[in-house]
Amino acid sequence: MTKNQFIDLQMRWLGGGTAPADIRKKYPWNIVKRYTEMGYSAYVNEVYKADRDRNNVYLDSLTKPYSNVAVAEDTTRGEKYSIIPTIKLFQLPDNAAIRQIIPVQNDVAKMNLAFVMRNNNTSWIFSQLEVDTQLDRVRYYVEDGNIFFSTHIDDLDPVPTKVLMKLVVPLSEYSGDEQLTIPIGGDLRIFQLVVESLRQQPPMDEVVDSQAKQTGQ
Amino acid sequence: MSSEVLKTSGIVSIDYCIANYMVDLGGYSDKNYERLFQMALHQYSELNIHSDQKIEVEYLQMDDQGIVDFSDLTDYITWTKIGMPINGKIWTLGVNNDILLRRDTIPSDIADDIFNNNDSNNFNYGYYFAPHYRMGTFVDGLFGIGQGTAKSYFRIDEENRNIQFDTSVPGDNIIFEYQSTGIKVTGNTLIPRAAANVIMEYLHWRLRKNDRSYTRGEVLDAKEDWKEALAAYEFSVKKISIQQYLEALSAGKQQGPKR
Repeated sequence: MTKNQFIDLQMRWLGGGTAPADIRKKYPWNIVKRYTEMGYSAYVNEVYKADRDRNNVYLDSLTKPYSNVAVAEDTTRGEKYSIIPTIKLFQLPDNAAIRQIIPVQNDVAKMNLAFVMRNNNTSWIFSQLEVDTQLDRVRYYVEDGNIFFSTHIDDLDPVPTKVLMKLVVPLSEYSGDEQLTIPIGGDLRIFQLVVESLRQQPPMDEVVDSQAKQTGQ
Repeated sequence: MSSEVLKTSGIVSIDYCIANYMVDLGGYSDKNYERLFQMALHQYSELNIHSDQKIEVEYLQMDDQGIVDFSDLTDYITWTKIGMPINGKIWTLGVNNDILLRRDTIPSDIADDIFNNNDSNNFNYGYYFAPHYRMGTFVDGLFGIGQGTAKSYFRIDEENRNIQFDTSVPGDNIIFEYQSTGIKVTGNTLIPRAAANVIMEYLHWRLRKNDRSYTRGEVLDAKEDWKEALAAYEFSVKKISIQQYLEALSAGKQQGPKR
């Protein structure tokens, strides 16, 4: 199911006889689209919380891959980095929205060389421990829309100039024709969240006149 | 037809232990990997200190001032034996903790005066000098070679990570046996497979211990599992071989007249 088909489905229900009277035929397509995107965000948060103890393997099914993201060098910091291809990234604890970062060598993504996360500003701690030299895997940390890589990236042969990022991004990052990969039952849950949100909206005739009316209603 | 069957390795990496832990847990995130790796390294070095007593041997070269630098052996905990090949035989040397350590705190001109400029005969009788000042500089325990049962003497300078030898040492090839942490500073540390389970159970326990969502009972449960794994490991590394058993039996037997 594409994103547009998912929104159309909800529009159809909202326009039909089974929808509660207070929300029936009251919301245009654009508003339902926005609520669907909000419902998707709430659903991702639910998935994260429910799956926290298992390191969020379910989030992986909500992943959107960004291939061939360029690796640049910050010469003043002496570190290499990549710009996160979308500024809209779910802000979840432990950067859980970043599911995986994989180096691309000779145009092939090397899954077995996947990078590991390091919390920002912890390099000074780890540099005092054996792990700094023992673990040759590249560490990444997130700062200000960039993903910085530890100097271990220079030990890879060849040194990757591109990476593959698997990210969990908001629904607004998907185009209308893009297929959604929502886990089974997830679409129904998002639909429920949309309906719940719409029903909490005050009806148009109860809106205070001194406030700007919602557009499209 | 070949009957050779490939078997899994008897030694594994630290990565193996963590990967196994994650498989055990059913979670495959990269978020904690570096932390888990450090915890596994810590546990393995603890195993080597308390359970395994991993012994390494390194061949070192003495410089012309009678000093062997072992600062590269970052896994060194303490020495066990020092030997030297002489005429096809290995001579073990004796320790002498009264040897004057040649340190930077002694000015080089005074150190040269002590070690190089004096007639070597001065060092043949075992003179001990109380700590004293010379030309305003503190000289700690000036020493000449004494007598003993060993061929020659050495002293370990733990702070400077070197071994200093007395002047009667007849060669410069040193065989240095020492207790190791088991973790090399570069490259992947390989560990015996038997230790992997201890490390996995350690990770289970320690991560629960630092996670307040677990009850005290659940933490102690994991600790018990770790202790069982540790006991099994210690049994495997410390159990005696059949040869040692037979030797122990025969050690108490002797031949005597039949009555």
